[in-house]
Amino acid sequence: MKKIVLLILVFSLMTHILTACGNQGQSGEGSGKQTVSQDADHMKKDKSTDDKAFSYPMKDVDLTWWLELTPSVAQNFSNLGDTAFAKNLQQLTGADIEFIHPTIGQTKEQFNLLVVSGNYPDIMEYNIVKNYIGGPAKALEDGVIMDITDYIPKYAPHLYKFYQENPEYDKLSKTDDGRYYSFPFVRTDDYLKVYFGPVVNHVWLEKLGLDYPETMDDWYHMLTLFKEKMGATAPLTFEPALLNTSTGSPFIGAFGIAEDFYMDENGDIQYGSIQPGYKKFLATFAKWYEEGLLDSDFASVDRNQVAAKLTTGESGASMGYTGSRLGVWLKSTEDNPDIDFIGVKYPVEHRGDIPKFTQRSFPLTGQGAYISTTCTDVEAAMRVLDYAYSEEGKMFHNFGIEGESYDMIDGYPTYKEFIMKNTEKPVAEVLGQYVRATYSGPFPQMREYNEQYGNSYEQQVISKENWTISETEKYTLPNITPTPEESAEIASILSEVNTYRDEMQTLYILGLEELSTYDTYVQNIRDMGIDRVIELYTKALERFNNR
Amino acid sequence: MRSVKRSITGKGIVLFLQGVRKDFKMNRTLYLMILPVILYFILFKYMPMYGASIAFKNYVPVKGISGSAWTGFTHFTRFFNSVYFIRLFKNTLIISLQTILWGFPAPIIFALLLNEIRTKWFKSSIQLMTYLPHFLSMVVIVGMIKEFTSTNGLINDIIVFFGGEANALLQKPDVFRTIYVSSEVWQTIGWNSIIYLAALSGIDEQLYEAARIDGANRWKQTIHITLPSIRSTIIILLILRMGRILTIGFEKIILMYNPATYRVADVISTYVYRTGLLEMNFSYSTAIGLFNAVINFSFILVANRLSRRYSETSLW
Repeated sequence: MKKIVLLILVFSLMTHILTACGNQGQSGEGSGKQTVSQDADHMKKDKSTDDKAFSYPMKDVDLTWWLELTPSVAQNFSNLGDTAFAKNLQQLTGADIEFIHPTIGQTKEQFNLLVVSGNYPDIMEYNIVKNYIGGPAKALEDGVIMDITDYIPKYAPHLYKFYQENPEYDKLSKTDDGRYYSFPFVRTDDYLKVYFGPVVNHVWLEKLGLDYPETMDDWYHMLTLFKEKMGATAPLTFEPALLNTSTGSPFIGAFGIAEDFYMDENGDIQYGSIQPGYKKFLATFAKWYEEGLLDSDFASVDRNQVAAKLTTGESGASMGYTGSRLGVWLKSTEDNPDIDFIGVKYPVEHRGDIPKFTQRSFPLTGQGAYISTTCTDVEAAMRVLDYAYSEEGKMFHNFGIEGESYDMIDGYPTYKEFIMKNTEKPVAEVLGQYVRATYSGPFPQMREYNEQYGNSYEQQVISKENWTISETEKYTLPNITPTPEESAEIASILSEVNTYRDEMQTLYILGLEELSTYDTYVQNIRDMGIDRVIELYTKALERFNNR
Repeated sequence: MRSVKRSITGKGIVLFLQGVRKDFKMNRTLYLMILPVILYFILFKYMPMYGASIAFKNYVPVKGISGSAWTGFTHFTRFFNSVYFIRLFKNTLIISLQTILWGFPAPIIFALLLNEIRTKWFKSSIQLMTYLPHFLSMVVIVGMIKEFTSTNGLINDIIVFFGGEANALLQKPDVFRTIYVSSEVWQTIGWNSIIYLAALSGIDEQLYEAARIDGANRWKQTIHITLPSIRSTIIILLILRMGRILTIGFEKIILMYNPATYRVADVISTYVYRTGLLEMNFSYSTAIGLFNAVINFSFILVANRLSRRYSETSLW
């Protein structure tokens, strides 16, 4: 008898576990319905509270917030919640926020895993326009993020007002069919849009009696002298990923093309990596590599190795961001009279040309915060995010708290001395504890922040001036949003095309593949369906212009 | 007729249950002991098989597995028609076979050599040193490999010393597999030799004594006693290894490769990682993974059959 009982026990345990798992599997399917009912609940709640009487801080609000912890903050904190910024934010808004971070360097993988899990934090911060295959329209259709169009006037009055006053930003923040989906990161001033470009060690230039390089021939001449006269073992070094279109396709752009998609003189969309200019670029770089002007570890170097080579004089030229690279390199070579860096103009093919492709960010990059479909308190989440677009919140996100991190001097928010002149840590790390302006986030970034942060060295100011010289607006493709179906098709074509392009680019430059096969390479890319992508992008561009 | 048939099967079930009950009564503890194992397999090996069905669907996370629409073999056809199919298949097979060719006999030879060492402290310190890489994380291992193979790394220093020319080795497609396989051997040799050492210690000393009396030297003893005694262990491990022939740890390759070496380094599992996790083609990458599993399964079947026919040792 005892044994039978045991047997039954075992069986019931097993079936219990099986059904429990089954239910778990189904919870993902049900979440769509769940949100509907949550929305309904929410409407009820909304009626009971008086909208006009709302004021911060809120009470009894718990939220979870998923975002990447930026490296300069991660130097000192393992969670954003431990910083002065997050503590102040929670006090000001009255919300208890639990911050969740993916492992550094695995943001994309972990976000995609999060999407599959069906179990979302209330707020997710990411670049959905750029990194979610299918873009915001698909994310809305997949039921990952919430359509907040109807809620914005009610729960996000500051953002709403901001959009009303700035129609050009409003256009960029919607899907083609007019839905809002995010609390965006906004660059409110042209001054904030340029922050990347080519960098050289100008002490060497002076020693060699050279001018700042302008053309590709100048660069060739300069790098050769770096190698022969200054003993550089890797005159030019950078990670190949920096040749990217989003950084303005440096060096590739000299030949009148971008690495990926751009608009030509007639306004037609073109794919750069199959143009005749691209072949010229490959030939130039292959020559530079063969002559030892390009780092011999070119295809495998990482960011730290690049920094090490530059600051020890193994290399004399690279590319970098104003703060996180140029600023750091300048700081670590302050005591070395032989090394000092400055940003120079993007190289062109013929002297006197104006660079066509340089780094210039959009006012709205696609980075932003999204309310997930499993968020239980939509109003609270939106109120917390909306705070950043109020006058007070804007100041807080850019400068922190008056008296703590900045002082108002003659009406100008001035960072305290311990931030700008810290002897132990770089500005990016100190400032990162108080504000989010040094990287990105759902708030409007202000010019005054960058006038101080990006300019702790005079070299940074000059660099920025040099990098701004360009005609890039004419040729850059705006942040267009293909429909989910179009995106799926584009993604499957581009995943093959880009793998192939990256591979061939490296092989051509390293001389492992002869440039005589270039026509076959172009044909292969055409066979993979590049023209279809251009066709779909053209349609999306038309819709964008009609918004 | 029908009723007769039913009564027979009914009786059979009753008899079977009676047998189980009797057996259960006798070996109660044994049944309890196997329970966690059964649960483990149900939970972690059989339940996930349900998830493999997304290979035949257009999986949308929010709709769930059962809510997504069926698409049949679309994803499989897309993979077979992909420009990368042949390359991926070839690379996976070559890297895998090379790893077996060098990596499988190495721990056996190592264990045999170790077995000949009589000085205890020497033996155990060698063992300890060779285990170590097994406990290091892959990121650290690859960090070391990158350091060794860069233009001014250790290996290039040696090459230059002997009059060669320094090269960024990880950028050279023709040496990628060599680096991969040799580092694999270095990483696993100590750990994998443990099982052979255990088998070696189980050999009856009397056999060696008898052989010595018959005049067999060390070499003859190894050939005629040691090797035959551990033969079944070797064969079973080889069959198991064959079952993983297309499964290559994607971690190490992802960390080691770059566009210059894609053509020799890109394997099925790295492709699954890129298309599935990075590009969100969940169904497509599941289809590829499933294809991979089917091939693995057939390899293990063939290896087992061959082994049963020629050596009378087999898994089943």
